[in-house]
Amino acid sequence: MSMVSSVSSDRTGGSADNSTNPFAITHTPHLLETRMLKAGYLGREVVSGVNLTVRPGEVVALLGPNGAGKTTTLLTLAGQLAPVDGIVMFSNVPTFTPLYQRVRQGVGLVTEERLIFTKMSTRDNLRIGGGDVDRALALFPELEARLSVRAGMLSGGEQQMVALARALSREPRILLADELSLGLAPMIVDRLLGAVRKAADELGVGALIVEQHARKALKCSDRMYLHVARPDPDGDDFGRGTHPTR
Amino acid sequence: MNEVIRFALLGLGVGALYAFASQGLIVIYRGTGVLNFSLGATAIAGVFMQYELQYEHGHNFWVASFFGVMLSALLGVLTHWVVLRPLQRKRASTLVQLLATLGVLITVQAGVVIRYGSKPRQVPSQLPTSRVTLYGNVSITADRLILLAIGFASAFLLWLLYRSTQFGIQTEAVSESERSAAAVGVSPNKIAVLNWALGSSVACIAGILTVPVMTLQVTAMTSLVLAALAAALVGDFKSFPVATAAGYGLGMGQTLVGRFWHQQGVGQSLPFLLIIVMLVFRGRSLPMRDHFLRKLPALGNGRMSWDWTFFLSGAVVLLILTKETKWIDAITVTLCASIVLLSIVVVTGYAGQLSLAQYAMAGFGAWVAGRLVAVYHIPFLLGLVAGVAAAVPLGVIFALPAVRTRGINLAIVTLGLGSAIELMLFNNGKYTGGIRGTPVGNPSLFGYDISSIRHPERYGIFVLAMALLSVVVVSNVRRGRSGRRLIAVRTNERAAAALGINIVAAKLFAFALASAIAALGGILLAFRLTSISYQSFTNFSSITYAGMSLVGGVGHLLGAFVGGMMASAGFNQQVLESTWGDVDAYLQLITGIAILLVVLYNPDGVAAEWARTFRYMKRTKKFGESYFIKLSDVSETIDENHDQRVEPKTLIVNDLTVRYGSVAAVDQVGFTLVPGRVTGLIGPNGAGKTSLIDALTGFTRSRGTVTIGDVDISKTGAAARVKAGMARSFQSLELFEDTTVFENLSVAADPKNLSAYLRDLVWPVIPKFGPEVVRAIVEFELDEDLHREVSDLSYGKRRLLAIARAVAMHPSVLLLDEPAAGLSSVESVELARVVRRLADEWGMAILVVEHDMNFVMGVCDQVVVLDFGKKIAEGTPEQVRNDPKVISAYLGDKTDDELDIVDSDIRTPTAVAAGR
Repeated sequence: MSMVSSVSSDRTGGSADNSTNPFAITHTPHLLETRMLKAGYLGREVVSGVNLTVRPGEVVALLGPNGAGKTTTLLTLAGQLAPVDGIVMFSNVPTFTPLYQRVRQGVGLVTEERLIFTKMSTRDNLRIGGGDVDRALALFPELEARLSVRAGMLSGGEQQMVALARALSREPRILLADELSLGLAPMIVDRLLGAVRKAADELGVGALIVEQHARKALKCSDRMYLHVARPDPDGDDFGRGTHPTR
Repeated sequence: MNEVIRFALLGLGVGALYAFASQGLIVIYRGTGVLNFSLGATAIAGVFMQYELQYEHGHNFWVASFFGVMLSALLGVLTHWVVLRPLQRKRASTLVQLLATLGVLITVQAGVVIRYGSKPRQVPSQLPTSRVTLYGNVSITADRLILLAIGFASAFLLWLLYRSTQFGIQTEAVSESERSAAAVGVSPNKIAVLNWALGSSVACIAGILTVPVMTLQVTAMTSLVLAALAAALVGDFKSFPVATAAGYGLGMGQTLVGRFWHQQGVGQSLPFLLIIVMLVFRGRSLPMRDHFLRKLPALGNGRMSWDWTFFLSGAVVLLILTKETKWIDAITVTLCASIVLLSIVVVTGYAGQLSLAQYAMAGFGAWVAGRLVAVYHIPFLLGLVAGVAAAVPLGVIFALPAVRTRGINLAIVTLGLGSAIELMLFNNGKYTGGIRGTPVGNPSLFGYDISSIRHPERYGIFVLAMALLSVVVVSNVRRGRSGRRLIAVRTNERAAAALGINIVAAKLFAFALASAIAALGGILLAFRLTSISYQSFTNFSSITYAGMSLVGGVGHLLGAFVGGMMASAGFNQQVLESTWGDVDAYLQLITGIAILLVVLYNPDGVAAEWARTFRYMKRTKKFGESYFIKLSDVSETIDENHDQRVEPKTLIVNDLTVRYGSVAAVDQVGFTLVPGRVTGLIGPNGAGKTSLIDALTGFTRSRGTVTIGDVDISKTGAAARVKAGMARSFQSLELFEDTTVFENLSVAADPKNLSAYLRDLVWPVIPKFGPEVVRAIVEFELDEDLHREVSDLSYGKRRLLAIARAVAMHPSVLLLDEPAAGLSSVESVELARVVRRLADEWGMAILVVEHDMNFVMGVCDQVVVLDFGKKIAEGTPEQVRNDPKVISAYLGDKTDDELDIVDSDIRTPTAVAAGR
């Protein structure tokens, strides 16, 4: 079991715009919000009490040690796992649909296991399910030379680029990224996280990234949540993280 | 020559059936990754429906066919929806999914038999049957040619469908990875449902078109699916045209062989021989989908509790002595079946090799014993021993495919081999004594009559004794060294090889032992009667037995007996019959439904559930004490001053090259690993780092020389390299997931002698850890976790266990593949300390592949950098970090700020001292 403690150093995100307009009816809606989310596998809950929000144009990092349930949380948000308890809301609407329907409604998912189709060409990989190849190539121009190569023949970094480019080229409203950087060379990680940051800044995508490399993740994120492993449900040793200097 | 052509053309009819059915199989496989053994049954249900509507209710052919096809499609979709989808959600293993389709097969077939009976019917043809003269005096009925045309037209349409429609591309996507497909907005379930419906419909249409050529009969189905499977295999489960052509070829070949080769059964065995050739000699395997191979059936610990054994045996003896003959017979049959099922526990439960030929093997043992007794009049006991002994070499032959194939492929091969035995041996009157059977008279034991007819209670007790003997042997194997090896092979062959286990030997052992046990059961089953008929040893009963073993619990000793009660004419049937009268007709249906229910709600089987409950009760009583393993209890007493240093051996690599096709993954790399030093291996993704480790440890073929100490190991296999003093860890851990930490370490610590296989049968050895292993356990802080299941460990602990397992082998050279991947910063600093100590205090030569630059820079004495398979730099961490080539290829220029948290203490002498 683990708890999530939020450590937010609220950067002036979209809410700043609203404050200039006194007649704004609502403040910027939360793209993604969870209320007391409890998640886990087959009745064995891994995380509980997750309350997190993601707003348009911000990158939120979800950090924590191994086994704290970061991936479980993310998969639950993506609709791959059903929540044990609590609600997941997209744009303030409680959502119970499976992953593929959420994707159609504007959720992008990238995981460490590189969601690509190894037997299809890179181009088909970018195109399938209504992706936009040109937009993807604008993000990662180096993929242009590899368009007709089977995706299985790409290096791990390129595969992850394909997965991320495809997710972003569908113009999602929210991007969920699980350990983008696992097993990738430092240079590639910077490129990938840079692309996420850019999508947030320029397109207003809200992104929730799970990262092992706290330092790299914090460098490109606006806020962070810290998952704290709590070995004993009755214990109160959940720590408080602090936002390191950036 | 003309005769040859005429017979070949005649074979087009049955060929069409194979071709169509293979198309159906491929559709379902492509769409859902399931190998659907129930396809024939669902198809024939539709065909019978069509037959009934058209000929018994007088409907139009098209209307009748429509409803028939709809029924098949519905059954297919239901199979997916009710059975397989829930299973896939629970991450059931290949084995369980395959048995689930077999359960559907048994259920649907039983339903069809109950409604329509099992006698064959002739159906008039809907296609024109006028003769068409091709040339000279070669003529053929028109329907064969039309079938040929329809078959290829359908193959073309399917090819087009999967190649260029949205549906086809989405199917391809789903078949690669369901999560990926969902991540681009494709519904995997919709695709699966459509493919199931399509595949089942195609098979049903095939049936409707081809039954006029043959006869409408229920039981031809299993062999139909197997033949279709052979054709689909030729098409690699992908290509419709190739599979279709193979189907026609197979049909023609069968007719030809049947005409010109007067050995009974050879023709029918042709598909199986083709399957075996395709799977074994082509060496390809079916690509497995991501939801396969996830969870294996639970394993029992193989311990027999003596009081319970005495109690249960006593109860059985009491029943045998007091009940009337029909009950004794039922108990005897159950015990015999249980012995056969024990063989499945060994080969499938422990060794993880899915064999669908165990009942055929039992029949073979019975055949040998029966013929010897009948023809040479040797005593029963001698015949029994001879039968059991004769099954061993056959088991080894059956195991040969297992060396090259695994999982579902192996199931297919063994089913094929079993069917070949059935068709060529059991169905051949010349070898079995024909209708009269093989007269074996009354068995006696040293002159003491134990005939089942005259003294059923004596025979029953003899069978009970044999069953107990088998249980003891299997229990010994499970608890001993050989059992741990089998479990290692079952869970993970790569990891087993990395621990120096000879995988071939382990598999051969499992099959040989299982065959002997199965033969014992078969012989006892057969000698109940004075005249043996081998017709009952069909491949279909082999499938039923596999299902029964699953229901009982394939990993548990007790499971064999629970399953045995379900045997035909066994205990359960007797109970049902004495309660409700004649249930014989419904027994198959009950078995099928039982298999499905157990698979769905309790995939580990009934015995596993009992064991869990029992353990729970026991634990509450003893406060869990029995579930904690103390390190001091399982290790030798340790000399405090024991020197844990390993034998120093230098690993020298020269010109190592690994090629995948035309790509050189590793290109002429050379370096040296010196005892007491840590060498880092870094480079961008795809630079060939893991390929290099695979090549060093013998997992990949390579050129160049590798020497360890003074021994050249360039040409040896993985197990031999382990013996030479090399150990590795895997990027993907490759732990033995379903066992305890203790057993994981035991496998590594066990000596790798072959004699254990024989000795364990009689007297298993429970290992004591040597001092090196204890040191390794303490070093990695696993001493508190020995009793825990690997699946319960945290991710960090699992990483440590994977490395500890390699260290427990006390290697001179240790190769670590991304040991710190996925560890938190704190944990990876801790790991760096341990790695450093392994070099400094244990004197190991260590190679570390790692992306975490803090880790590499902190722990390594020397760093080798690879890019595109070539070595681009080598030197101290300092040199490499400032090397412009390395910076441009790998590090980038922004790494400096990352290196500021390098734990500079790691290598100072104070830290080393503090660690003690």
